[in-house]
Amino acid sequence: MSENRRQILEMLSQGKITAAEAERLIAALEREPSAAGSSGEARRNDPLKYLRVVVDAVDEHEGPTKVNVRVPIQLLRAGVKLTSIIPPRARSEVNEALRKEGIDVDIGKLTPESLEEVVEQLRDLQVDVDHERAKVRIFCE
Amino acid sequence: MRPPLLAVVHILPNEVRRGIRLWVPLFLIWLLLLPFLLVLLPVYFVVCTVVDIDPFKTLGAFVAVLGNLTGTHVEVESPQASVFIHVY
Repeated sequence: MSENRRQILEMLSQGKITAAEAERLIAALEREPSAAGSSGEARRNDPLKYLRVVVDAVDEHEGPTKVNVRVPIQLLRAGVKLTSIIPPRARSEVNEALRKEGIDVDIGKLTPESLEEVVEQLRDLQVDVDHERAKVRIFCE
Repeated sequence: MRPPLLAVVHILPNEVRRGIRLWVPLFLIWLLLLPFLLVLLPVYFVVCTVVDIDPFKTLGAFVAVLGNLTGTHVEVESPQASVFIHVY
């Protein structure tokens, strides 16, 4: 039992608070992040550093193959800046081709800032492919 | 952000007893390339003008990509060979 909970129960037993108040206080305590929760929150605030790709494959003829790739997330951000290399004429052609494929994105408006949201979502991304001949894991850390 | 200073490249074919183990001092390569880059700079600006791209943005993008390569790690182990690349 935590110290706070004990204090609430003591106050209740001493008649300083009513049962309803005690219940409300305990409920409020439970809503507070626990120590583990707060460390999880801290982890959530840590910036993502790497995109990891781990492949563990077995080929009947060639044998096992392991691949372990770690790419800095900053490299993705920097990669977005490379869109500036695309000349405006080619950019509109790329946009048109994307639109035909059902992707309505203007690559000219793609900025490292707009990528932030995507990168933030990568935190929860985990791809696990479990095939009889290969296991693939893609995640961020 | 700093440019990568060192790359470790190991290529070890399993059939060969000794493979390639390289420690590539990238900082020396940058230093050696710098005079060439300065000489090529006017050509670069001309090319950018011809193909209608912003030379400064492009330069910035390349510097950003180069600067963020640090920490890249590639490791492949197969029955034929093992490859290990790490950029410091």
